[in-house]
Amino acid sequence: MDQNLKLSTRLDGPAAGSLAGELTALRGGPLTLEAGGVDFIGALSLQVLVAAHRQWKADEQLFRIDAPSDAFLEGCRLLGIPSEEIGLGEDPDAGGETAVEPGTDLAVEVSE
Amino acid sequence: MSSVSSDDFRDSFFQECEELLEAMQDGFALMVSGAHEAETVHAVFRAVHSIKGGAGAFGFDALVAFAHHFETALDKLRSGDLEAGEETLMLFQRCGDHLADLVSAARDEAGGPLPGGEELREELDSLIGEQPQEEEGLPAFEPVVLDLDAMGEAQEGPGSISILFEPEADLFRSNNEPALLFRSLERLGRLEARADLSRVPLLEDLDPEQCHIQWQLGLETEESEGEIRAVFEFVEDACRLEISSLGAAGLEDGDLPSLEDLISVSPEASLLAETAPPPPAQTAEKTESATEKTSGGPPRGAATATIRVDLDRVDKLINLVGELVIKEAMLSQSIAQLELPSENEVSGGLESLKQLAGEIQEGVMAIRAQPVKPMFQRMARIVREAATATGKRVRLVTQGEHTEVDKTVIERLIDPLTHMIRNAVDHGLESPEARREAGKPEEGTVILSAAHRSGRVMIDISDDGGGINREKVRKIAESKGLVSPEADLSAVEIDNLLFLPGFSSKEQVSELSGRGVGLDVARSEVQTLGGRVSIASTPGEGTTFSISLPLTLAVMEGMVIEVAGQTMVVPITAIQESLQTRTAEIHSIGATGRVVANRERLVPIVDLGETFGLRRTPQNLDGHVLLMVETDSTTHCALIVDAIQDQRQVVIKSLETNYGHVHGVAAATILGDGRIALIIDPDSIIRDTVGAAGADLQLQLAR
Repeated sequence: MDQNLKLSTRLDGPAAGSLAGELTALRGGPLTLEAGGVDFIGALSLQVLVAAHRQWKADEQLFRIDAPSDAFLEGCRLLGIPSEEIGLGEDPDAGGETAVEPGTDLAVEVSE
Repeated sequence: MSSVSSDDFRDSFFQECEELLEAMQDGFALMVSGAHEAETVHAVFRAVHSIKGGAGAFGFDALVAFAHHFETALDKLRSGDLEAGEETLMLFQRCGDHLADLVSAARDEAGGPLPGGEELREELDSLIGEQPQEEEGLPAFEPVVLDLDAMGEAQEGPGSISILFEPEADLFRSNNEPALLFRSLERLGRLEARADLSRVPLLEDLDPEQCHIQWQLGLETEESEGEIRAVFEFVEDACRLEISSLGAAGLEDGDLPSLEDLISVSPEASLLAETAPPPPAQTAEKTESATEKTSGGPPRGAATATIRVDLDRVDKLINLVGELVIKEAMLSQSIAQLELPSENEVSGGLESLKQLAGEIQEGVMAIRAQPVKPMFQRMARIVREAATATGKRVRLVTQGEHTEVDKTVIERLIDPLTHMIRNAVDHGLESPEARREAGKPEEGTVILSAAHRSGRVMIDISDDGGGINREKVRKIAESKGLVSPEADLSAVEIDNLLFLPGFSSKEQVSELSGRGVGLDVARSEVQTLGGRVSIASTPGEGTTFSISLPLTLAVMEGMVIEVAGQTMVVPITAIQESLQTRTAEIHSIGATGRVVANRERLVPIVDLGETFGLRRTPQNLDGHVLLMVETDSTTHCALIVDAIQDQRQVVIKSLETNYGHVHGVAAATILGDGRIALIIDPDSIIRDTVGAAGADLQLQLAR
């Protein structure tokens, strides 16, 4: 069944370890991350999301990030992480990837 | 490129060579001191490589050939195949000297190999145990293109900087965050970041504390590389950082190179640098050319902040400022004659004009001021050569090399300083055996230091040798008839005998001092610069020669005096005090001689009027003033002058260039009333009338 994980507000370097732990525990099924409350995301946490996205793809499960906050998108832009690398804006119905330019208002596009 | 003549490029090349040679010497100095890092070796390599690249473009074959050999050896050092041992570094330094010679020869269009080059090449070959591959296809040197671009870049506007950034785990452990670093970079210009995620594994294989992302950043900025580096200042040890300039925006048609263009160059090159085994010379060149403008080298950004100006123009400006000062003095004199009320607008205006003129003068003088560093670097070479010639081991330590001195002073100081440095190595330091016996390290130390002290520049040359052998010095001076055997000389007085013409303490003239130049010549050269030399020596511990110099040769502080109706100027630096004749204790000696008792010594009195043939020495000194002047630590003299008019800054106008040398006169100046006044040279007056150091000493005995 679909699982949701609400991301912490501060995803800095030290938070990457626990994020990886939480995500690992949720492996095996489709996952939606709620990113609306994130007010900072750093390089290591984004790396965890990239690795998780790859893991879920390898597991042939759906992995997506829902309603990212502006701070989340700003983090992606600043660090040059393409949105498709973390499952940002992936449509659960289509199952394909819809690349979303960082910085655009995703809340509308991905809202269900 | 066609709009710029090849001569301009040629000049730029030689100017760049000077900077590169300086960077190379700096690198060697660091290596010798043992304080170098891997980057130091890279910087030296880059310097030699760039010289070779430029030389190739201009067809300086001898220079290219030698630089190539040198570079190959340096590359071995860089790749760790070669240890930076003492011998190796000494050889490299000699090679550096030779490279500098070749550059000078190329500049003077005296191309072709220089003597000694072949031997150095052989030594290099035996050091690295192979013959370097001959460079193929000289004209195809690709670094040339880069170098010329770089020259253009100096005048261009904002440039594109490519930054490769790969954080290590430590960076995060110390709570640093790439996102924040990038945000700081954004403040410097337009930033585009691209993350290379190819090495990020699946979540199950991920160590969340390790960063597997490498960033390629493109930054459009007007800031210097130093500014960019400063952003990474606190994380530099915890990441891989490569900063390269990709040329100025608008070189072609005003468009910036796209990020893709930037990326296509650098990651390859940097990967090459990382993964390739220690590369042979040719491969290394490629890597190097891509990262040429990166870390550590002479800051490129600095070039944009300076311009090169013809020295003639600066000199003309200085001359004009001198005239301005004179005109201003004239104007103030005319105004004074008007006898205006004390609070008037004219005087107020003149006051601010004076202030402005003073500031302009200071500013212009500052343009001519140059750090003594290049001169010190030349001395490093003198020390090396002197050490080789005498079979001694010598380490040169330089201090205060950023001290700034007038360019002319620096140029004219090279000869006397060279002599004193040679003297320190040749006569000052003992032989290695003697040093061992004395319990000192075999390697002697010569310290060359510069500092500003109360409006003058002090340059000290110290050695940690045996000190002056005063007994021997005295004996030699006696045998040469320079001093009477009965004279009771103090230690300082004996030391000063070294400066007497015709004195040479080494019985056997060595190869070094065989030029027939004594310390007396070195000293008189310093004196013509308005400087003074003194010695301090402690037996067993060493000797220090101190040179004290004026900051500039264009103006000086002088005392305006009157003698027999003539106005003259005495340099203020020579004057110790002035005495009223009425209260002074004056004694007669012999038929005509007179001395004055001052500070527990008897000082001979000399009449300036008689010295210049203006009058006979007045019998009655009432109404006259005695100026106590000193030339060095031992020779004093009291000059009879009629009146002291003023103390002021005077602009020095050379007599030599306009008329010829006049004995007792150092130069001339133009006073506020438009009259010309002679600036007297107390040193030569005292030398002639009182005689050499001895006279003063003898008088002391007479007490």
